[in-house]
Amino acid sequence: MKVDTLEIFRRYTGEKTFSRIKHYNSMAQMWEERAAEFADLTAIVDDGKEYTYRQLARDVAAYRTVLAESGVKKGDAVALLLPNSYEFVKAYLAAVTLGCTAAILPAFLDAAAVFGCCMMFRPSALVSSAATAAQAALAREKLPELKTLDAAQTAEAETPAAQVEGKDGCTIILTGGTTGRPKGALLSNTAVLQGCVNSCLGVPHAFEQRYLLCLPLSHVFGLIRNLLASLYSGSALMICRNNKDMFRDAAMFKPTIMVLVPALAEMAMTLSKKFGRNMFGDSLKTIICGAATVPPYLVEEYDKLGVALYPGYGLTESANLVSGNPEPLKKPGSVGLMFPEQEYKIVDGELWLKGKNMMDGYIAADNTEAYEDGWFKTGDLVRFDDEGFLYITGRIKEVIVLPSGENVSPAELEAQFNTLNLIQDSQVFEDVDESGKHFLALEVVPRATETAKLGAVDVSAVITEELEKINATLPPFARVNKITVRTSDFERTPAMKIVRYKKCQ
Amino acid sequence: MSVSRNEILEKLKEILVSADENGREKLSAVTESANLYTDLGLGSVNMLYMIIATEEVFGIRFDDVGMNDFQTVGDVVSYIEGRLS
Repeated sequence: MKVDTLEIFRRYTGEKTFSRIKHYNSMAQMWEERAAEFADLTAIVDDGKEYTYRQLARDVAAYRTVLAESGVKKGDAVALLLPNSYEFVKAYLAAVTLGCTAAILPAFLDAAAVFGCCMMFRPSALVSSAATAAQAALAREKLPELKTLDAAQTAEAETPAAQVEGKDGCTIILTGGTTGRPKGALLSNTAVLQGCVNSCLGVPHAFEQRYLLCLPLSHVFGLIRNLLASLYSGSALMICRNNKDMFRDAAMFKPTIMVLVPALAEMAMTLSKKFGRNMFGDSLKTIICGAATVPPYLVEEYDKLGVALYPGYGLTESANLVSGNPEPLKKPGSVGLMFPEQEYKIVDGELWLKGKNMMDGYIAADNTEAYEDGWFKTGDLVRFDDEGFLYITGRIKEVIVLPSGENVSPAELEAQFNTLNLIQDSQVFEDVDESGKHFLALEVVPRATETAKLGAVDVSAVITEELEKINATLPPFARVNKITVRTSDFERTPAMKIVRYKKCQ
Repeated sequence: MSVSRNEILEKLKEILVSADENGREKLSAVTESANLYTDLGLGSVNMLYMIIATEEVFGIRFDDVGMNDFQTVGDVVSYIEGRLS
């Protein structure tokens, strides 16, 4: 059942905030207007320095001059190889407001990967810094036509923003999903701006907030939901340069809102319990949590600290946000309602998307499998409840086809096992025994806070027994044949997602 | 007040256990030669937890050092010892 969510989001957002949500044609227009509107407010805090919107606007205009004088022109791609920093923000805004497409290269890429990305995205310039200069060296050597710039460069003259259209390219984000080879998702100005608009929906206090950035800006969740949402809303953003300092930075900066992946939110909760205080400080009122499955108990635990944790769902290909949950306490297992302008349908259980937030395709990759009849196939298996709340039930690419021909979604099975409080995370996968027989296996990571309550018993045996009870309730073909209780966490990707086993490939 | 290497190791073990209560038995018996990744199976989030909690407990800062600079429990003990001295 499709639910018109505009009025619902309007109600949860509140009229005051809702009236400040504006639709812009381009990032250039958005930045020019917002920078003027919030000129005297703090925009960025980084490395001990504070920059107002006015200061940032001047630095952006000066860096547009650096780009233009090097020969970069509207319509070019500009690759950014920069760690989270003020220089990143300045160079990114300069590129996109000059009408260029900013191709964002993760700062951890090695020299060969940087060269590979430059071959793939064909930028006219590569911007690096002292921290990443060595990684840029191979591309500089092999591609003589590539202009190599330093983010620290500046100019006396200021170059005005270009006339940019919504359909013009804005940002390329490197994505690989969990299985595919790396490729670039091309997001238009319209798509990125829709991501900014969506970031305000369902959040009552979205404007003039204080964000602490702990996610990489090369990730769509960090770039759009964190940095650009902050700039769009006149908020101050403090860049945490090293996540080990996040609580020290929080104590100094007093963030009101944070954007976190579940693993970080969970780690902060464990530390808060260990040291008997909210490690992020009492100013924090909101956490936007996504990029992986959010354990429902986190919503309740943070609520006890006076923090509203909102689970959401999005993709690189959809300029981040597709849905948000304005009622997390009521439905903590849901990723929320589809945002008002999102077009969607479900085909054989898979979510298909259209809309102005969607990418214009992958760069230098075959797009034929990604689309059908103009719809982007997310690969996510979903369901909606009667009130229109969305639940992710699995990934098509992770679906296991058993020898019997039955399809099993590991995520669906894992959701069953995860109902056990003793379980923090689980992974169902296809394994193979010595005789070559394929079978379903389950590995679980126990939840330490719960197992500690068991006292001096054989925790592994207790958990196995409980899991076996759940297993017995499943359809016979979907039952797991082997249960392993881990003593350590699963291996995780840089985005904190579980690295899924591929034992049968 | 000087803190012995053994006292540092014991406090570090407590931190490791608090990050992963399930591994209490294994972690309580840990020696300095244990590899953080292959023997203890610490992931990036566990490492982050260990460093943040260690800073809190010992009142020190892990400056000019990256997570990859530590391979064994003994490496961490040595670093803490150096910061406390």
